Amino acid sequence: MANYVIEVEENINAESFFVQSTGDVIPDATTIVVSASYPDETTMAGMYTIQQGDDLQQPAGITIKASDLGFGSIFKDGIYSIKIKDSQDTELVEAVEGFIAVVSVEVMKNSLNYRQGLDTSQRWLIQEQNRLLSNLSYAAELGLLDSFIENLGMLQNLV
Amino acid sequence: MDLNTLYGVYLGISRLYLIANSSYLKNLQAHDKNSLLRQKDILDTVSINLNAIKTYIDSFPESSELIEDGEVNESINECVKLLKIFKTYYNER
Repeated sequence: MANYVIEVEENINAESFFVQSTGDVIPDATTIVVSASYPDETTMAGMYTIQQGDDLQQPAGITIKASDLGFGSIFKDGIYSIKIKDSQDTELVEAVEGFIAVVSVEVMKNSLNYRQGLDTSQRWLIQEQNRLLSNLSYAAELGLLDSFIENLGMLQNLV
Repeated sequence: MDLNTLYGVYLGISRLYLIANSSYLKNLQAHDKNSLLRQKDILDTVSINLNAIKTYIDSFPESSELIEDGEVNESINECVKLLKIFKTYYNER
């Protein structure tokens, strides 16, 4: 039985993600279907048709922009399901990923400017942002989607 | 600062941070509460800045388009300054 595996990595600028097949070669990969859920309970979905010249297999891979899918200029932070389908619309493999580039950049900026001289509320805020960012890592590693969304929503409120 | 240099600096600061942290842990039984709070404040500040520097490195070169070099350099300088203070006043002797 074939072992299809894809790895997905969001760009820190949130404008695109990179997807790559790292397992067996996926035959007849035709479309990449992306659906997203956000902390405000909204959803989005889009589809990318694999072009001639695209190569999903490692060491190549495909970079997909938010605009390719009709998501706007960036991928909002949330949980993304990326499915590879064949020409019969059969799902071959799926990856579920948390995209958090937007809040990560905000926390990075704030943290680079964290100083002892900041007032207590500012310091608490940046500490809390870092704690929630760590929580996102824990939730992602454990695959706890509810916890991921809960912490992401709180973090979005704080940045 | 190029990425290799920055990563080297990051590793150097991380090492000094861990040495300072080790001293702090040993100081827990011997130092008064106010001194320990000042030490922890230094360690927390360095840790938060280091995490941000690591995020910057991990997402380089795209991160360099989002953050100015000066911000990273200032963050590094702050870490070095604080760790020097820690070494002067609180390192285990």
